[in-house]
Amino acid sequence: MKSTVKKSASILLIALLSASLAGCQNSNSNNTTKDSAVNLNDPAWKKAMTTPYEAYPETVNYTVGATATSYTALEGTAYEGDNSTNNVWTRYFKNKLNVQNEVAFEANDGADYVQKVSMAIAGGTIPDIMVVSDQTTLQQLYENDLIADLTDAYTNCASDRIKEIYDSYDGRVLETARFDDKIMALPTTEISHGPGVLWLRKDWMDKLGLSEPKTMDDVENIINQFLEKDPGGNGAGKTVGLVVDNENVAGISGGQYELNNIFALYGAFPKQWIKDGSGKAAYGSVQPEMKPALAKLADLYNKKLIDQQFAVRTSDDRKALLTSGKSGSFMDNWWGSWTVADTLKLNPDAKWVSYVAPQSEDGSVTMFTGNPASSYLVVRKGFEHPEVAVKMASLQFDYQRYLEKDATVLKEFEDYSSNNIGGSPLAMNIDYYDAFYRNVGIYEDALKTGDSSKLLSNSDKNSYRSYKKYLDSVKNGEKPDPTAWAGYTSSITTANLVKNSKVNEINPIFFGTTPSMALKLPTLTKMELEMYLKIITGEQTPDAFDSFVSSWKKTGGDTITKEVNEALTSK
Amino acid sequence: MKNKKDQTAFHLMLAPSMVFLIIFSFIPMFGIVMAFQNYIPAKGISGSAWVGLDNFKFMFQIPDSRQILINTMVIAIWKIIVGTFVSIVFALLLNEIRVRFAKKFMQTVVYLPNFLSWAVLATVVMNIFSYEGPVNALLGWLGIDPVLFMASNHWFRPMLVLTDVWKGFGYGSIIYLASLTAIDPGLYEASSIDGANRFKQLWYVTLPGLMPTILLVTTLNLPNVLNAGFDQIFNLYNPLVYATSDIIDTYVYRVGLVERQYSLGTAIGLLRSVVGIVLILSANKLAQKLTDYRIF
Repeated sequence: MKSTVKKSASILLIALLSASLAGCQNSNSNNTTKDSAVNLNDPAWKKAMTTPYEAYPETVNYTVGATATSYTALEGTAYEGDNSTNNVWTRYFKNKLNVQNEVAFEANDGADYVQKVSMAIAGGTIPDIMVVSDQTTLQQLYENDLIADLTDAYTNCASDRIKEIYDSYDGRVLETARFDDKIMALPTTEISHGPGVLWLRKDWMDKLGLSEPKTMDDVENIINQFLEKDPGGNGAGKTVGLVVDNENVAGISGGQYELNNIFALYGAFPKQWIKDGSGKAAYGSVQPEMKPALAKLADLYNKKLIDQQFAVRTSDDRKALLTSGKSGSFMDNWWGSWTVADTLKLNPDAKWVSYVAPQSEDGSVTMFTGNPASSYLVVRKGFEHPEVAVKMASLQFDYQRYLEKDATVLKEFEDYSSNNIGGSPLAMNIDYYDAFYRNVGIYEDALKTGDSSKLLSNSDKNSYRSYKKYLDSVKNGEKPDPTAWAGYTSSITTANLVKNSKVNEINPIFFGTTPSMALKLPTLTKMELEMYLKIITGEQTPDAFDSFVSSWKKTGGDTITKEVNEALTSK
Repeated sequence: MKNKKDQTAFHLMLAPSMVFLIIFSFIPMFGIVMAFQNYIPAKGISGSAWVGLDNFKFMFQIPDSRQILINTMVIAIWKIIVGTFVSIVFALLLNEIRVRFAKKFMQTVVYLPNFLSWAVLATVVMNIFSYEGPVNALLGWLGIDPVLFMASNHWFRPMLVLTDVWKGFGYGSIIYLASLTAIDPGLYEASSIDGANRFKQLWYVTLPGLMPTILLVTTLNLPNVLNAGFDQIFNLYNPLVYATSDIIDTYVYRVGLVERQYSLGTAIGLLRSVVGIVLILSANKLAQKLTDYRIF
């Protein structure tokens, strides 16, 4: 028998434990910033709040939903110990504007981040500043009256160049953030990314004596030889075909591991609202052109030219397949070299080369253009200094890029970017529509002559130095730095390739949302995804596409199509 | 019998879990009204517009509802059946081992996976059953074509059941082992005098002795029919096998949290609760009938 003392002690312990557990849950939510009362008549405050670059007289704290950055690459450097609230960007914001971030939540880019954002919205506790990933969310936030009106902040605190950049999209970007004539967010601009690009292991192709692919047959032949002749030495049957995304097989402009180019060969534009024969909007995924494209993909999968396990791969798996030399082919964008930059560390002899392929018979490639506005920087309604977000954007995307002259500061940013580390609390980009092609010629001249004076922005100059370093290392037969290689390969080699290709652009006519979409689109999207996966993996024949189309229409697709057309005519 | 003072202590020990229950199970119940609204977080429950049964209408209109309900039941029922069976057989076999050390050792080993989370185990399972994994290597060695277990609608459910049983049967067998010790040793002596061998003893003494426990545990498991295991499925599934693996919980997670369809998510969750309460009531009745045990 236990003594009464012992028993009471254990009860006390349990009570204490549960109390401490409850305590833990509360401590996190008390971090909201207490802003000091601001005297608007104070000229220093007033100036800070109405100009792009003026610093606040006192530190303004803000909480932010941040995308996680890995700082491990900085170990052993002068920046050791940097973190998401103290890094080269946050220190820059602190020094220039006197603002300091606190992290409300942090998540990996992509689905993880989107999930955190929706949790924050569901919980009703959104951070002072955060980036939301689509217009639907922005609209929801606006309708729920959760975000601040940034119209005045934009007028006063966006620098001239920021306004000029937004203008380079002919209003297609900023308009998407405008509700009832109020600017509710700063949109991330999606610079034109060109068509999808096929990346192949050139060293494998050379080993097998294969030439540059043009048509679909060439592509098939190359991948087939990769599998059969195993130039990577993975062992018989161990080399994997085309790496494909399992959640987005196609349909995202500029998406990674997507098969948009193959669909486009057949005139299919999945997930896009395109003009049909009669000039009305039609949903690309339910058009008859889809079926032969799907049949082709099923055939490729059956021949093992598509990764047999793509349906179960995570994004880490996909990257690992490519960087570890298990697969020698994937479809991506011009920046695909960044995806496989790690290959150079694991296998220095690997050579990834980009091709604009498969091309149609006349040598052209068809692409659909993306939504020029992708994500949105929003400010919580009730946050005392909504203009902070605009000031920060001006500082990051204009001042730091074009006007900062302090060599020590620039060196720090260069060190960061040469390690491919972000760190800015603003996980977005604001750049000219043609930023991708804009400077290729200038770069090439500069690399030839060694005179970089024509390059305007600091990041261009940084890039120039990095490209130079890459070219020098190649010339001297040294091992190139993966980051320098990735930068050069995407922004010079691939940019040139794309610039000189015959590209047909298809412009989707609708990117917005309609009332029924909110309730019905997720179900339809799920149905669509299952259809792709089942047909491609051969679980169903391509004929299953027909029944998908009819249930898509029945389950709300027709309603949505009608609403999209109404929205277009009412414009 | 305990004296009065002891009882108070036990009641006090119950208090934290009661508080827990109230906070996490009773208070959230009010959230059900979201299912009848077009819920908007900023406006809260009091400010959001009432839409009547719209969410339910849409729920019954989409093919997903039927599918997830079927998936949930099928997966859970198989888990209960196979899980109970394996646990009982294991307990019986273990009971036959006479070497104390070997018995304890075995028990500990099968008990271990129970302490690992699915987030960890999923990776292990995925690797074992991948194309390059040991299982397919073995199949290849036997001349059988490799099977992609985790991406096949044919295999995914059996995989779910088997891996779940593998994780839980050690833990599940404890209760049977305990009730085995309660069987009167005199019965074994008597039966062996009557000439029964080990198998006959098992059949005529052990199993009947276990029967009340088996019935009770199985009946109490019935309400779990709607609890097919979110952790496991969420960590193992992929879009290709939604058709056979998407259960109510994973669906509500995706619809409610990922797609931010709070009201639709709640409506589907409510469907689960309604079916759940029917099951609990019938389980209670059944338990009362079969084993004379009632929860309320």
